[in-house]
Amino acid sequence: MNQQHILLVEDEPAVAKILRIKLEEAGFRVTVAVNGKEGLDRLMQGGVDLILLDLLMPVMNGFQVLEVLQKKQNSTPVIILTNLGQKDDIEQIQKFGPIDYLIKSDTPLTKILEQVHNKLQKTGG
Amino acid sequence: MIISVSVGLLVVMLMFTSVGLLADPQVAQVWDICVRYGGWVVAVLLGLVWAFDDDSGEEDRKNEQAREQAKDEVMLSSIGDGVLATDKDGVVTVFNKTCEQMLGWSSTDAIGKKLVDVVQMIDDHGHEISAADRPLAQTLTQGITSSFVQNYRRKDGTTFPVSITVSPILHEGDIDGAIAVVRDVTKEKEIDRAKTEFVSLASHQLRTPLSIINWYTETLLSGDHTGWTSDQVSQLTQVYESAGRMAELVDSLLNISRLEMGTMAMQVEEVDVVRLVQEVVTELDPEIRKHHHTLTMQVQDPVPHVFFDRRFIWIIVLNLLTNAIKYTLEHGTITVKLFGEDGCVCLNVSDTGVGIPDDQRGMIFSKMFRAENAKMIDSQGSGLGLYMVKTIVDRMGGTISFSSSIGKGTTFYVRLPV
Repeated sequence: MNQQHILLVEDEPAVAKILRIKLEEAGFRVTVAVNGKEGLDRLMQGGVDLILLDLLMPVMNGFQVLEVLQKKQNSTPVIILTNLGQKDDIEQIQKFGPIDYLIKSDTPLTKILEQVHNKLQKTGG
Repeated sequence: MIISVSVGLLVVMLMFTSVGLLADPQVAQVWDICVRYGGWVVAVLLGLVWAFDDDSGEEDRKNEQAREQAKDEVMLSSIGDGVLATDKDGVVTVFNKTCEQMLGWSSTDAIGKKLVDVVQMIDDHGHEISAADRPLAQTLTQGITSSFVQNYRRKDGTTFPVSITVSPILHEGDIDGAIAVVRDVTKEKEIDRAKTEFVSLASHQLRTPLSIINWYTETLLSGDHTGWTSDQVSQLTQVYESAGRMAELVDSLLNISRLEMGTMAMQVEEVDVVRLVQEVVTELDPEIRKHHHTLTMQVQDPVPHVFFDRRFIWIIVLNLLTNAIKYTLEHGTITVKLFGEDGCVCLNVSDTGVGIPDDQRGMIFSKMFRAENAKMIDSQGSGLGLYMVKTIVDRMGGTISFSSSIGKGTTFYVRLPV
């Protein structure tokens, strides 16, 4: 069975490192992009089963990525992983529809892995 | 002069009488004519005097009115805020210079027309607010005064935020119209946006190292501890738990800073409190189950909606329910009652928890205060929850009080004006 491919779009190196370790331990193939533009470029190459997307990033932030995905009607499943936890920020996310989001500082790694599995199962990825 | 002539004639007549000239038949004849017609002349002259006085009185009154009107117009045009008034049908009767400058409509464009047809009100999502939903409609039908922030559309189509207070004009108890004071709050909104962005960014920047600490300690704790002492594991556990507390503290402190920032931090909207409470209960369901509590909601319809910032009402409900869950030992009962009374939405949150000691009740809403028995149950609370609740309730013009019995439970009573 092919390994499922997770695209991790995250600019904070320490965060990206631990997430990559945990996702690979769980059997996923992981590509890390350090900003939204890099992430979109990689996504367009195809073969991505799920995007873990940070919001505050240089060059192109997560909100801008969501806008592009919406415009292109790209249906790759997305889970937002962010530390923007204020209600306004959440309302901004929800402008793009019912997107799953996790607040990094409130969510253990085990929960993140659980959400990734659930999302992939739901979307048949 | 007319008065002088009239008085003069009277004097002459009296003189004639007094000096006995009337004995002369010719004089008497002349006198008879004078009396017969002179009286008429005097009467006419006096009438003219009265009329002239009246006319000149009327003119004085008109001049006085004109002066007063001019003074009112000068005052209205000098006021820095927009002032507009309507009659009871919502037709504009006053539209001052500041309104003209703010909105681009001249007073001649506006006066005589329905306000809702001249100036559109737009919500923050860019949708026009219908006439029936505008505060002016409520003021004209119910006579209520309201203050709020919304957006007006100028004549050129651009929109801008305004702070408006609309009050009824009452005449002998009947609503005769409405008067509104309007202020352009574009600058204040910009400052508020900057402050909100700062709070968001500060929250993000503080949480990022916390999430790194959490995840790396979680990884160490879940990994192989061969060669570790139990103390080392315990110490690392402390680090992990403290990082979790810090995240909660960051949120609480940032919410408080928003509250203390001032009124322009608010995003006022109509809030269905019943629905909001149901959403909070759903969010807290895992905690309720973890403690094996029973939570019941009792709603006495109709419960009116409130007009305030939804995020802050959320904080009130979340904090009261979280405390009820936390400070009630397992298998407890929590009851949430919602009803409307005397122009307020009433929210009562009762628990069968540990209660609040008598000698500490006066401090319960103080910043950073935690009752001794609360600390024994949860040593890690911030002491900010009830302070935030009280601050928000005060800002809404509401009240909060409580009754409590040690070992039996506590009920918080919140009244929020509609």
